Amino acid sequence: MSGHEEAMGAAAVACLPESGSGTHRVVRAAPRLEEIYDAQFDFVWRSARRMGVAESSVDDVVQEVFLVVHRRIDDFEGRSSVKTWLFAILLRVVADHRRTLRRKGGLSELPESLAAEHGDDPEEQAQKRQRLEVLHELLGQLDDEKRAVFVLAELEQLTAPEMAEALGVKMNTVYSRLRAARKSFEAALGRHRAREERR
Amino acid sequence: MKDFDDLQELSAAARTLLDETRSLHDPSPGDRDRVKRAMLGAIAGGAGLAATTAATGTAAAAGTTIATAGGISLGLKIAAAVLLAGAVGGTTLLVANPSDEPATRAATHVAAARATPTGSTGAMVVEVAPEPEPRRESEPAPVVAPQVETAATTSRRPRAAPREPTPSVEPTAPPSSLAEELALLRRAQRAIAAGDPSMAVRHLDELAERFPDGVMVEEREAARVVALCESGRREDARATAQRFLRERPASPLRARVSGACP
Repeated sequence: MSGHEEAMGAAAVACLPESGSGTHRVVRAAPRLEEIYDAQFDFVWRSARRMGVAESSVDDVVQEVFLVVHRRIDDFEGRSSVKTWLFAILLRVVADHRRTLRRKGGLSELPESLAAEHGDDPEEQAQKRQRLEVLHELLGQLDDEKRAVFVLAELEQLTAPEMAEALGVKMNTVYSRLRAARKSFEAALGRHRAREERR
Repeated sequence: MKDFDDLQELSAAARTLLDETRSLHDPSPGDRDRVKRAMLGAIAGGAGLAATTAATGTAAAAGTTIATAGGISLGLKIAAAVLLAGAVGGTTLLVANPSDEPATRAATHVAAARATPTGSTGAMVVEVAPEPEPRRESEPAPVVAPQVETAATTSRRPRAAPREPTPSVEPTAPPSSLAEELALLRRAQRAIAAGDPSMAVRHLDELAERFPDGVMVEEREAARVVALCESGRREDARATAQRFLRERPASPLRARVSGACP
C-alpha cells in the first residue's frame, strides 16, 4: 500500500504491518459494523446483563458479540432482523463465557453497582439497586431457556416471530417456553415475598 | 402482549418489578465508547479474522492496538503519516498518530516518537512506543500506541496490554454496607477509566461522607489522588497524596499514590 490513508469520518482505519513483507494492510472497520454497533450496543449490553453476566465481565462479552458480527457480517445478508441475530450470537457467547468461568473455578461477583442517574438521591439509588438485586435473584432461578424467552418478552417486548428467530425455535415453542417461564418467575417472586414477610 | 392473548398475564407484583427495573441495565455513553475502542483495537490486531476465545478479551492481546487521542471519541481517527518507501526490503513505513484532536493527557501517555534514519535509504523510521496499561486500575483511560515494525527494527515485537476480567474474589457475601461501599468505589474507578474524573471525585466525596471509616478508605484516597490529578487539580492531588503517605506509611498503596501525580 502506498500513499496515505486519511481518517475517514466515522470509519476506523488502521494501517498494520504485515509481518515480514514490509508492506502494510489497511483494516477498516466496515461502516456496517459501526452502524450495527451504534444502533444495537445498548440492546446487547442490557441483554447480557439480564442474562446474568456479571458487571466485571460484560465488557468482554459484549465485545465478543460484535467481533462475531464482524467475522460473520456476510452471513447476515438477507436476514430480517439484526436484533434477533445479535441475541442469538449473545446466547452462544454467554454460554461460552460461563464454561470459561466454570473452568477457571468460578468467580463470585461483586455486588451490583448502578451508574448514577442524573438527579438520583442516595435513597433512590439504594432502592433501585435493591430492586435490581431482586430481579437478578429471580431471573437467576430460571434456566437459560426460560430466562432468554422471559427477558426478550417481558423486558424487551419482542414479538413472537422475533423471539422465534432469536431463539432459533418454532413459535409454538416460544409460547410454551414463555408460559413456563412466567410460571417459574411468579413462583420465585412468591418465595421471595414470603421470605421478606417473615423478616 | 398482543401476541400472547392466551397466556396467563403476569401478576401485578411481577409487572411492577419489571417496570421498575427495565431501564436499569442500560449502558452509559462511557461504556459504549470504551467497548468500541477495545473492539476496534481487537479487529485491527487481526482478531476479527481469526477465532478468538470468547469472553476473555484476548483479542486485545493479538497484537497492535490503537491509540486514541482524547479520552472518548466515537470511532477511531487515525491519520497515518506517509513515510517513504525504502528500497531495501521494500520497507514501507507508516506511522499512526492520534488525529488532529487536541493533545490530551491520553496523548501524553504515548511515549515520544523517535525518528531514526535508516542507513541505506534515508527513509525516516518513526516508532511510537506503546504504553500498555492495565485497564481496571484507578488510572487514566488506557492508551496504547501502535507499534510499527520495520525491517530495520525487527527486534521490536508488538506488545499490547492483555485485558483480563477483573477477578472478583469475595468468597462470602459481604454485609450490605460493605457492598455499598464497594459499589461506590467501583463507580468512581469506572468514572476515572471512562475519562470523567470530576464524576469520580463526586463519587469519592459521597463515599467519604457515607463511610468515613469504611474498609476501603485507602483505596478511596488513592483513587482520589488519581481523580484530582486527572481533573487538573494537581495541587489538591499532591496534598492528598502527601497526607496519605504521612498517615499510612505502611500502606501497600504507597508506591501507587506517590507516583500518581508527578
